[in-house]
Parts: sequence; structure tokens; C-alpha cells
Amino acid sequence: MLVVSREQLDAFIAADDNELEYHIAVALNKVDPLRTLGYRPELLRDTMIKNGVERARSHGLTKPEDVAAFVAVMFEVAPNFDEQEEIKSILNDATFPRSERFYQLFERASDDAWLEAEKYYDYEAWFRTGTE
Amino acid sequence: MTNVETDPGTPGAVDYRSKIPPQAENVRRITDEFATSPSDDLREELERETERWRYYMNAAKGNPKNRARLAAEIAKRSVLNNAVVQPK
Repeated sequence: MLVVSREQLDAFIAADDNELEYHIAVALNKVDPLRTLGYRPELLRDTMIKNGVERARSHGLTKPEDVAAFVAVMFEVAPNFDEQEEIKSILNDATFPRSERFYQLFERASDDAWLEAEKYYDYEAWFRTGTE
Repeated sequence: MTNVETDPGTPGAVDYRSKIPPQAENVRRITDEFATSPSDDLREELERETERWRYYMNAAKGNPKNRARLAAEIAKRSVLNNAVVQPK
């Protein structure tokens, strides 16, 4: 039986950040082809996605597929969705492993929290990594 | 079920749908301006207003929690598929 380690799997997916950013751009197109239609690569990949990757990592996400999922939510709801108080408290809840907290948002965070996260969309957040 | 984002009758609700036409007009105006006298500042303004327009269109779909879940699932599956179809 062929055994593939997590590190090997990650390398299969994306050898470096440049490849990861490319794969995230492809994934975003699958989520909604119109969402980023016509955006310059310098804006989409070199700024929005790159900073999104850093923002995802600031919450302890390391697997490429988890980082991509986080960035997809930034595009779907708001680039600063993680700054909403209830969402932030779940992402910071130390009683759960960091890697699990992001997916718990879809169960634990209330509808109102998501509505508020969307309402307080901040364009400037695309230019921040979330770690400043 | 009432869509609170698009129902102006809900207290505190944001009527994203009503924001789309004026924002589209705003983007069209800046696009025309950029076509006749392009500049870095105007390009940045066009990108910012286009992004805001896309955000309104997305938000008008309603239920951000479900949309977020679905977006995360699709993106995760897309990236994992790269391990299968693009081994290095």
C-alpha cells in the first residue's frame, strides 16, 4: 500500500506559496466565476489572495485546502469576516485545536454574526494580512 | 423564509439589492473616465468601486452563513483535487 505523508500531500497540492495562490485563484473561479472576473493579477493574486493566505495562517490554518477555504469565505462574505466579535471568539477558542475552529464557524457562529460580518465589509482589509 | 439582507422592513437590515444599480452606474462612469484619461489613481478607484459592486451582488443573494459554508467546501475540494490531477 502506498502511504503518502501530510507533507507529501501538501507538496502535491502546492510546492510553494506561488502555486498555492494560483490554486486558490482557480478555486475562487469555481466558487463564483463572476466574483473576480476581470481583476488584474496584481490585485487578485499578489494582493487579495496573498494577504488572504497570511490572514488564514494567522488563525493557525496550515493545510493548503484549509487556507483556500478561508480565503474563499473572505471573497464570499467579507475580507475582514474574522474580525466580527462572535466569529473572532470562536477562532480564538483555545479549547479546540486551531485547525478545527475555522470549520466550527459554520456550526457555532450564529446567522446574526455572519450577517454582521458581511455588513461590516471593509475594502481596506484586502490590503491587510490580519496580523498587523 | 424572509431574507433579512434584502428586506428593508427588517430592523437593521441592509438592502443590498437596492445598492447594486447605482453602484453599477458608478463603475460605468469611472470606466468611461478611465478610458479617456487613464491614471493610477483612477485605476485604483475603479478597482475599489468594482469590488464594492461585486460585494453588493454577492451579499444580495442572502444567507451569508450558508454561502460561506458552500464556498469553503468548493474551494477545499478544488484544491484537494490538485493533488490528484497534478502530481509533481
